[in-house]
Amino acid sequence: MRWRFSRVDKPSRRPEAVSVDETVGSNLLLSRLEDMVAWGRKNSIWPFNFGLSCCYVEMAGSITSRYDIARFGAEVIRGTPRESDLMVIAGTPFIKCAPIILRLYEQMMEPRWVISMGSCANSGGMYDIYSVVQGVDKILPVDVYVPGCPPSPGAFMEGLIMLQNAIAVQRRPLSWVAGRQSIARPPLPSMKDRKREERSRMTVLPNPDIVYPGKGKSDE
Amino acid sequence: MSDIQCRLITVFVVLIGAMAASAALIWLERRLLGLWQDRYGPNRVGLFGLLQVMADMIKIFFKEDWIPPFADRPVFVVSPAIVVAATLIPFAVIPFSPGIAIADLNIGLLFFLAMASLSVYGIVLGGWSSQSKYSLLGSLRATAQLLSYEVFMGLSLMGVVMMAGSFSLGAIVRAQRGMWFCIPQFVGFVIFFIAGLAETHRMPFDLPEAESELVDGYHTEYSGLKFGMFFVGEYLGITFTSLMTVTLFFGGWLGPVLPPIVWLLGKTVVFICLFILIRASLPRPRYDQLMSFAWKVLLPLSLLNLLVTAGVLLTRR
Amino acid sequence: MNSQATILDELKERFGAAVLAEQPARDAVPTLWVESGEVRSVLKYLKSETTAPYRMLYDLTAIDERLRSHRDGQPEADFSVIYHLLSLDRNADIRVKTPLKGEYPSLWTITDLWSSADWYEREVWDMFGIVFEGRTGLRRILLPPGWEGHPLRKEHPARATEMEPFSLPPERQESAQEALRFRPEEWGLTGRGEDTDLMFLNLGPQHPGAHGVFRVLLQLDGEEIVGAVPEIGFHHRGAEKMAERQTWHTFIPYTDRIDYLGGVMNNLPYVLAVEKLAGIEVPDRVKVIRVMMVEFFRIASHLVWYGTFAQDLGMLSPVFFTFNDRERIFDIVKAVMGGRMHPMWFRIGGVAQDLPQGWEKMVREFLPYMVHRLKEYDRTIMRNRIFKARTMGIGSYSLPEAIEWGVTGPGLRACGLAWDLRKKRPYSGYDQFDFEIPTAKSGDCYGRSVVRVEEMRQSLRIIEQCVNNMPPGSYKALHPLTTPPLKEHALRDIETLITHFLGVSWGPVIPPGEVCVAIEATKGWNSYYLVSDGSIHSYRTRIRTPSFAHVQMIPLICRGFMVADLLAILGSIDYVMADVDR
Ligand code: SF4
Repeated sequence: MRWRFSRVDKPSRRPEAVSVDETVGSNLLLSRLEDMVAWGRKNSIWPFNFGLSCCYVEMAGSITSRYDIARFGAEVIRGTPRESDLMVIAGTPFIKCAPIILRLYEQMMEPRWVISMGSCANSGGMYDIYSVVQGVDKILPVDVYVPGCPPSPGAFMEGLIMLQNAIAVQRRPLSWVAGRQSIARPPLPSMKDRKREERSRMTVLPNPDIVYPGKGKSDE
Repeated sequence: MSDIQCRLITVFVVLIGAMAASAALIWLERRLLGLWQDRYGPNRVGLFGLLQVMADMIKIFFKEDWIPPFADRPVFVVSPAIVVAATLIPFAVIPFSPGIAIADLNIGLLFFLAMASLSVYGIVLGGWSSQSKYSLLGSLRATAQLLSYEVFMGLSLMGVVMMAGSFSLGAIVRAQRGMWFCIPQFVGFVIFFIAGLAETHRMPFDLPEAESELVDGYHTEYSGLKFGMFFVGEYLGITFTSLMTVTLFFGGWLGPVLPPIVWLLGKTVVFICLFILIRASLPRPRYDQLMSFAWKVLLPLSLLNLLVTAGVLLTRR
Repeated sequence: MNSQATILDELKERFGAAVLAEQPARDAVPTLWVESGEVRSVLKYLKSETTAPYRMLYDLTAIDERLRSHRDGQPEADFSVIYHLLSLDRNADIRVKTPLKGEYPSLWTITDLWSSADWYEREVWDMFGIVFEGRTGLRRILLPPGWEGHPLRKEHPARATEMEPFSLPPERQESAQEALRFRPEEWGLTGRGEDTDLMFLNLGPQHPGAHGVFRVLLQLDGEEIVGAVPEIGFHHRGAEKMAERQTWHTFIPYTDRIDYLGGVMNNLPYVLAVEKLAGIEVPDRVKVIRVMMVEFFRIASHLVWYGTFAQDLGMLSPVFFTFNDRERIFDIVKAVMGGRMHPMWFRIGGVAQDLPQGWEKMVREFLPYMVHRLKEYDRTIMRNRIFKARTMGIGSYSLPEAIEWGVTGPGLRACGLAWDLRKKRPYSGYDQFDFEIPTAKSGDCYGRSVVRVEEMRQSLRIIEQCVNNMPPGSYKALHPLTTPPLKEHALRDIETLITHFLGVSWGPVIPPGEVCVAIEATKGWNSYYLVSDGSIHSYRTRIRTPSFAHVQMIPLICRGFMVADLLAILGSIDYVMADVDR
């Protein structure tokens, strides 16, 4: 094990964006406590059992057999915010509900993450109406946005994996007495940009008038 | 190697073993539940997801640990420790192999019963000190449930004690050379197993923490490491109850060919799986139904069992 | 119809001048205007004095009449309050309207006639500012306390973007939390029982067993429930206001999200109502396609209920199995309609597309599979002894109670009354299908479960008949108001192209009139009461949802039970918060 001293305000150099496979492959050889902690956090995201509306049903769907987020260690749904790491804003943030959402968020213990699931939570979506907050990021910080109305469970899982990958490279203070006190977050990628090329290569679209065998099975 | 050193090593091995076993159990449970529910369960972290529990533990260890300002601080802090300690200590009296036990007390069984009642305090105090109504309701349920099931747990074991003529667990195992006690003491075994389920407050007896009713029951306000201790305590309890069932009714380490420790552990794993299967399949009775089942069905049954065993033993003599 | 004529004559004769006018409605429900002072006596007469009385207060709502054109022959009014009553004996409805004048008019309450009027009146006050006198507790129900204005009044802005941007600074959070604090005195509850101290427990708005953002305040003696106060409105999305701003066509997606487990089931009453206003007759193929898809969603919704109900009772696994089956339904839904939960696939005058090639095979494969699964669930859930012990005798109500509180759907049929709109007032061709109406006697949680489980089997039967007898023909009506019109016509002749263009860019103009269409939705009767004044939007859309009525009943049916039973009761009611708060 090699130890290095670095200054508190100048974080040492480290490779950016470790891929999932690399992390998994090297998890027995963790050479640094921080890496280990980040690895632990990444693989053990316990969501808070919190749902607002329609999107929640799809989020619950991602726990069930066909999608099974348990594979990523994220099936331990906690009923109390104190024990959970991830709050999925699955549904419409209502004005009447906003203080409650915020309070629940405050009751979660650090480190905590927020996924905004669905257009309503992202921006108000189709509900530009008097009783709806136009995007949950007006009241609390969001880590990952998952678009869709509702996003399919598969889309939600993609968001979850993005969050996992982000957590793996995030650096947080290990203790309140030693080391850096700020949180270093790498910027999250825009999937739209990343997938643009692939998408623009698609020229033949499936015909809606034909049932493709197994079409329903694969999820996008 | 002196006797003391030998003892210390045993203690160490058992301690680590118990911890490792309960960690493995968490993994096993999640995979088995996955199997029975047509899905995979954790399989991404490490081989077959074996490192999942480690990730969870690391995460919990580094999670912000917080004591609610409205809680009763000292009690709040101490109660998870009580739970873990009270479930770890009785491992001392389990005979793992002939002659290998940390302390083969001649009142081993009584010691185990005493410790089992002690762990209730952890839960009750934890719920009470949280100063939250859900926790309070959870710990009230826990008190009623655990105290009454303890009665039958004790009673159901008396048949075994009579047949073995000893309170020492080593002696009880040896007394099963001819026949495992699960046959003559079948009723006792069933009652003990049910009481064991209730003692470990596992589904379907998880009323103190019934998620759909009481959020998370007595540990609603706990977070971080303290919650982790409750969490591990539960699995330690399962491991221990399975070990006890095997020791008392299924001949402990007895068995041909293979080394005794393998027999013991093998049988234990079967019971652990049974615990998990029960969790996966049964609904939860209501609190009063649970109590009336205890007092109206189990109490007469265990008394009857006691009576019949005593009668049979006396006539034999 | 005869009985309609007689009831109108009967009322006119008895109340004379108090009956101001009679209004023809497109749905042929007798509608009459009654002076506001006399409404109570008319309603009382209808409820208890006439033969075959109108025992159910089906709906109570209001209209802001101030900007409405095409009021032909209706009495002058700034606001009108509408009482929609239902007689199960006659199988007939009646609509009683009363005109009100002034900015914030007032009216005498009818909570003494129907206890279920309580929430409806609070909603009318909340939404319109119409005051009901002679009652207590007239407070906000859907909007947060301290809200300014009444959203369904025409002067209230609809869009959030027209209002001040929302923010939640600490002071506001502080005061909002303070407003959420439960003060038992306000609800007439005390902390003292006869000889015990009672505890108040706040269940929700975030609670794992509450199925959404819903709050019940419990007054407990130990774990026994002495009193309960449900609080709703955390899920109010302003769907009714939305309808006044979207065109007739572009409102369809919003209906999907009312009962979000019901998918296109929600489209159906809306498009049926619009079609009635527009006078569109849809081809048979459309009817059968609609019935088939709607029944698929009935099964899907009941499956979610099945699994989550078992989970509420502590069963860990069934929810996984039922969700798997639901995924299979979604495979079909996706192949046919392209969406999953919210396909928004029905159109005014038809459906969006024809069925894809190969759909029969998917459906035919699904049917025997599902029958088999249902048998399995019977064994593991319905016949489980603990499950029975947890649900039998819990949360029961009698048939008269059910009618008094406006309970519909499986909850009503669990009391032994085989009343199903699909049979009693067949819509969309249900009279052509062969199926039974399952009932139960007990009216408790178990009874409601039995009815739902059996309903899934009946739905499978209906779907089977759909596959076997799918009529040929077009998937859209040949009517100028069909929106959008058939694509191949739009591509061929200029008239249709123009209609297509106008219908999509501007919106179809639906002729003036009033109509109310109810269907047997997944959770009970869902109806859309549409008022058109001949424009591209509706003037007023009232969405009557079953869950609103069912949830209001909770305090009555949970008294004397334990906290654990409350969760069983909540689960067995099978509500969806979006269906309560809209
Ligand atoms: S994004 Fe769509 S599906 Fe999700 S809550 Fe909003 S309306 Fe419902």
